Amino acid sequence: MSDPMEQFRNAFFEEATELADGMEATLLALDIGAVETEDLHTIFRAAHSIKGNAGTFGFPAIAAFTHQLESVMDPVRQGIRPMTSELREQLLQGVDLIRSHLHHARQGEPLPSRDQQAQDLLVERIRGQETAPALPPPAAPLPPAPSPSAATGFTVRFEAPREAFRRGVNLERIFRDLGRLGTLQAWPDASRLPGLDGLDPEDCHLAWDLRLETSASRAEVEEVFEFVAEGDNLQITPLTPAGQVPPLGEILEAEAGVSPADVREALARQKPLGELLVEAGKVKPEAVSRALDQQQKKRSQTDAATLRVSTEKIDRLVNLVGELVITQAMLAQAAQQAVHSTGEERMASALLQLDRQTRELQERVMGIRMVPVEMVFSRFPRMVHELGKQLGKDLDLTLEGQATELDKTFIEMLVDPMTHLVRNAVDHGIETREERARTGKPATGTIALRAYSRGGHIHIEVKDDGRGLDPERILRKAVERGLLPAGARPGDEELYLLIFEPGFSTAEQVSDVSGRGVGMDVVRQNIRALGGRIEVDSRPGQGSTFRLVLPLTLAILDGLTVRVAEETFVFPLASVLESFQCRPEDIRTVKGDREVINLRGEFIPVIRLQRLLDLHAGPDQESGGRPLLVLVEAEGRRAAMSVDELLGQQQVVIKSLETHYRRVEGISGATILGDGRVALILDVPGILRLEAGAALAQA
Amino acid sequence: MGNCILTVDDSSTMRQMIAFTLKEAGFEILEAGDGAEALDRAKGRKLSLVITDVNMPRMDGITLVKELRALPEFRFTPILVLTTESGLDMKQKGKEAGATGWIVKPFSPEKLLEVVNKVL
Repeated sequence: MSDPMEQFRNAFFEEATELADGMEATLLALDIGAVETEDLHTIFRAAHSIKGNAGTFGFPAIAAFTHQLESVMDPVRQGIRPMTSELREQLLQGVDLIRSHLHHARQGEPLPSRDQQAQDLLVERIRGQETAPALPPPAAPLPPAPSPSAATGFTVRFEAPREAFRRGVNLERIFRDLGRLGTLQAWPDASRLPGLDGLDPEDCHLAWDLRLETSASRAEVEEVFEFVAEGDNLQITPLTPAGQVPPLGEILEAEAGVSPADVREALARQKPLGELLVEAGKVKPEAVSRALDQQQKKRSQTDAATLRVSTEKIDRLVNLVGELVITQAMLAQAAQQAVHSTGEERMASALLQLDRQTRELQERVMGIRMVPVEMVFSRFPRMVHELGKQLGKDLDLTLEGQATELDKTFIEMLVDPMTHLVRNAVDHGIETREERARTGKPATGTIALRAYSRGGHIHIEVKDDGRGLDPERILRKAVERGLLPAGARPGDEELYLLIFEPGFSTAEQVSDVSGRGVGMDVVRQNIRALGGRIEVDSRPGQGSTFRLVLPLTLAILDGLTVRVAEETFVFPLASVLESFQCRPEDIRTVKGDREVINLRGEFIPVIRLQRLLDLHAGPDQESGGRPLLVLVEAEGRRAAMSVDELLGQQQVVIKSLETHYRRVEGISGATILGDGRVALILDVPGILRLEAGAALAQA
Repeated sequence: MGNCILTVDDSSTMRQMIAFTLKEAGFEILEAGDGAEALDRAKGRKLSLVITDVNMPRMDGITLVKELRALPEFRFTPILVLTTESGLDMKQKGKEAGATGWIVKPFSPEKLLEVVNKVL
């Protein structure tokens, strides 16, 4: 077993990262003119929690730094010091430094000196403001700070189980333990006692209303009731948090000793809003119940309980289920014949059920790996905010479909390409203030990120309402750079895709923000590596949309299955451009034994898979001696690969070859087909690199 | 009332761990290797607490709880059952048989003392 402290540390890093993210999000959402006190508390608490945990788990440097952030926030949340946009920027910088701290502490490294200097500077500036006249000392007495007695804690309604005494439960202990958590007020409720004739003295009929002022968590309070809670006999309700106005009943309980049971009874006589509106004939009952449903749904979305599990465990599960699906398919195929010959119907229906259940199991298990796209989107509000400031553009960022789920692996691999697209949209897409004013557009430019699933794929869009791509300029550049022959005029959509070619850039001014046009080709490469593609829509003067189309998961691949000799291979569909037949004489030999084909004026190398993979000749081609070629593209290279037969398109579950055998040049993995046979998945970029290397060696 | 706790488990390692922890905390300890032996030892005695495993030869822990509750001297004595995390419904079965509470295995000595303190 690994060191338990190690596990605590991992939990600390995760939690601290989340807290830093939350701090950042709250800071960005602050409306400096009208700050919500609760937001200030949230920011303070984040710094405070990181500080406390960092101290416990042995990261004194993090504790010391977050202590500074906490101290600067303390007077702010108390209303003694104002929140300013300057302070916001400083705290945002603080968040960055916390992240850097966490990152390096995780690697066991000290904070790099650059960040250390930045931290020292920041602390100095923050401290300076603390003492400097950030706020002139008020002549009039300070407005009343939130009452120090403002309590946190819970009200508890507890009905003892009837058999409590007979189970040896000592109810006194419950009150003793609660009393240890804080200040306890109790109102016994004997109203459940039956009349004397129905009374069994060994039954327990007592109930209590309790008010506990405590800093303990709900879980700690629940823990006290562990042995006597059974579903609905225990209700724990948080007291109104400090800084918010408690309801009248709560004040009366605390100050005037009114029992919660009486308050409850009085409240019960109040009618719900929906009922009153229905009675008044203002709304139909169905509309009320629909609204309630909607509210309930929102509620359950927000309190969805979660459990942390290591990705490694999940991956093992995913693999195992993959195997199970294959075994099930083999079993089904083998059993089908038996069922046919014996007419055993029970077996047939059981098999059908097994089939359904394994499929559902697979879907569910794959679903565990899925995380909301919010995890990528959430970094952009900050980035767009910064970029806007840097470039002097007013920007509005809208996020849509944040709950759309994606394979976890994608999330990490999407960050770079999306960052690039967003930077481009801000830098090149959105016009300058002057230009927008000239063309009568609203001064604030809009960037929209949108995610949704469609047809077994996830679509992610980066959209701006800027100037749009200029087809004529792209055409000019493409010809200049030799990407198109002079005089060619492809359609706009084809032109747009040229911006993803290596070394293409249309920005007249090279800027700090999005560099020199290196990058768009990297974006496309990254997306292709995920088995996806990019689409571009653009209208001059109205803006552009870049759409990433991704498969649902990395573990499954859209493949083109082909036969070469007697073996079955799978091409990832994302790298296949087309397949076609040619005449044998279309393939020409150049430079010894290298072969090329002239395809619409372009010479493309031909790769004989049978030769490359060293396979014995198989059955004759069904194509009647006319070579069958699959045109593929990866990393900007193209080639035509000769195969013997196209078998079909299907989704395959990817298995690593390395873990089961060893790494094989030109093969990226394996899959097991429905009939139990193994098919190898071709590593198209790898093969193209092999081919390019061989060509070079020969030249 | 005595300060004596009966610990029932067929694993002697587990009994030792429990006995060691509770003796350190100042309790007197009686041990039994299964439910039947526990019932024998418990009869006619004043015990302040019984801690029993569930899966044991001869007589299991749930039966032991029921048998003890049927004895007048054990009607209101706290009884804790040791259960594994997966045995969620074991908590329910224990409660129905009359157990006061449970300790989820694996547990640390601190946790044991914490739960014992909760019922004593």
